Amino acid sequence: MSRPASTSFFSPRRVLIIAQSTVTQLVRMKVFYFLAPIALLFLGMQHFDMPWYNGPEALQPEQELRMHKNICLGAMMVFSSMFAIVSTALLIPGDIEDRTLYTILCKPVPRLDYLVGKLLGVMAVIFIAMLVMDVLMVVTLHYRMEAKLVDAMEYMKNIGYPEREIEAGRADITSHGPTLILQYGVMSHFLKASVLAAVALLISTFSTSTLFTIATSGMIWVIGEFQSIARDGLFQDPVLGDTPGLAERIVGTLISLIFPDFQLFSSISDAAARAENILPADMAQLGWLAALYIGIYVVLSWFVFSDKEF
Amino acid sequence: MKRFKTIRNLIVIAGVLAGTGYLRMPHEQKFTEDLRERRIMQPRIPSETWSEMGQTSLAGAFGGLRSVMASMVSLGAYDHFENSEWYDLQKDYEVITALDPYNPFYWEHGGWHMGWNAASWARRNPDFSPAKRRIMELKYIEMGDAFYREGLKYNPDAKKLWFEMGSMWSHEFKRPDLEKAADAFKMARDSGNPVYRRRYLFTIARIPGREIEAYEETMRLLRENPEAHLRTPTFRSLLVVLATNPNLPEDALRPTIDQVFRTKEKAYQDLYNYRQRVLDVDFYAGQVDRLLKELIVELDVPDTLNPFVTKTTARIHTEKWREKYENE
Repeated sequence: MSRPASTSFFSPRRVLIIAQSTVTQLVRMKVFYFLAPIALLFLGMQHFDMPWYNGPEALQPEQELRMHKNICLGAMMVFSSMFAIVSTALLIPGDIEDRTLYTILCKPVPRLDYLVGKLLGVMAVIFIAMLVMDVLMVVTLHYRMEAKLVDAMEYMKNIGYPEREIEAGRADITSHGPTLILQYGVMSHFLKASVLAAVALLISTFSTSTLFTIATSGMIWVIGEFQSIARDGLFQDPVLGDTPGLAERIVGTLISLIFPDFQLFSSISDAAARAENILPADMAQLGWLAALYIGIYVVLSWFVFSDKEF
Repeated sequence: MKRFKTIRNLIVIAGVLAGTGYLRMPHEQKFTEDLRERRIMQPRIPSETWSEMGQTSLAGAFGGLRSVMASMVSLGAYDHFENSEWYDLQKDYEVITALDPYNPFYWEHGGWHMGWNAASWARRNPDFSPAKRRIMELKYIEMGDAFYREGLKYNPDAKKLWFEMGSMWSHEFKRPDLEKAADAFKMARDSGNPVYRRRYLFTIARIPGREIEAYEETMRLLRENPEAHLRTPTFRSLLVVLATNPNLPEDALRPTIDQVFRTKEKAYQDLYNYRQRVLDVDFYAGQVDRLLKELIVELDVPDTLNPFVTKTTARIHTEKWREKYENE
């Protein structure tokens, strides 16, 4: 009599299979169709000039490029964050509804594998979508930057800028084109969307309705954006700043302890659009923070999901 | 049993989140302060600005789209500008600059709308009494100045803000305050833009008593980039006219017409136009009349182009000059 094969606590292979099936599931929901209006927006941006940019002396190439990046990164952020919440919120109830969940869980598949697989599947779809949007942004931005560079160089030469200043101007405009720093901005949006997906995963493990999961995750997103304001109050210098009252301190502490700080992610992306000097160490710190958040939410999801009865 | 489980789960979730939150909070704060210090994170929005922000801007600020929202509000603000709704425009720019304070463009535009557009509107408003026109115009100019100065606090390297401030205070059709303008242009004279570098000179050359300083500034500019500055007619004229100042030291370099101008005709054209600027906006006169009279004799200039015979406020343009001079 052969002994039944023991099931390992966590199997990357199983996780990968579940992630693949999640990607297929989401692709069948035609999520990538969303990219068509995004592509139109990015291409349309090429021909969108501000009303006050006319005339060579009003030339503001950095400003136009900054606007281009802002809109592209903003669209990416809205898409990725909303997609992370909605798709994750739909997955577990969807699996229950079409009874896929029962066929998976009756097999020797630990629930942790199922949850991690689902999360990775959502993250993979977000990653692919963001990659496509990123390529679109880089291409359109490159062409726009080249055009602005030609105009600006001609103007600078005409009014007699010294050679080294022309070079500095060129470097300045190029820094607003497709650079590694801009990619940091895209990455920070991806990390933020991943954290939001993990939040939605946690909520969907105990929520009884998809709508509740979406609404609650959306609220956590909003609160997370101003978590830093609440936290700032707690760390305020009592001599230099306004010290908050007791009620404000209690609310501030609760918000700071429980909710993630999404402002950090948004700030990196915002700074990327401004071509500020973001360091790889900043990205490492942000990545570490995102991993910590995702880790906490996944473990909690597992805790709730492990003894859930269907 | 199910309810007990749900409550237990919620307590565990809250406990774990609070516990891990307690551990991560100081790190998040340190990271935030580091990013803020390095201008990567935008400064906090002042509490008084929160109340002025519309729902869209608030949603944007909360959604982490501060720069995008600033761009959008600035597009909306353009409508207020077109409709001369200055109060709304001012409030819009307060919100825009609070959302994206590290973008000098918005400070520059806020200052321009207030100090130039709103001020001109007040100056020409037929519904106001002359006294009110003057008060309102000055009020808007001061508002523009305040915008530029506030922007410089956030963007100390933005030479364009100094330049715009100087332009506003030196404009002949506004309420010129040349000392204020000179102070602003002085801060922009190390910019890479040769136009910005020259404006300090052009301003102090209009202030009585600062002629020697203006002469020294001309020499400084000549040494640093002669090619760029000698292209400018006013600079060429100042180079010659400021050197006619009798109070200059004996050994001061005094460029002659032949050294500065390509031809005598060109010298006459530039000095003629410079003389008009002396009459219009009080540029340093020096001995421009003497120089012109010498050239009139030397070039046998027709009376129509002789400012001592034919009074005119018009400048001579190259084409007009050639045409008239050759025809006569």
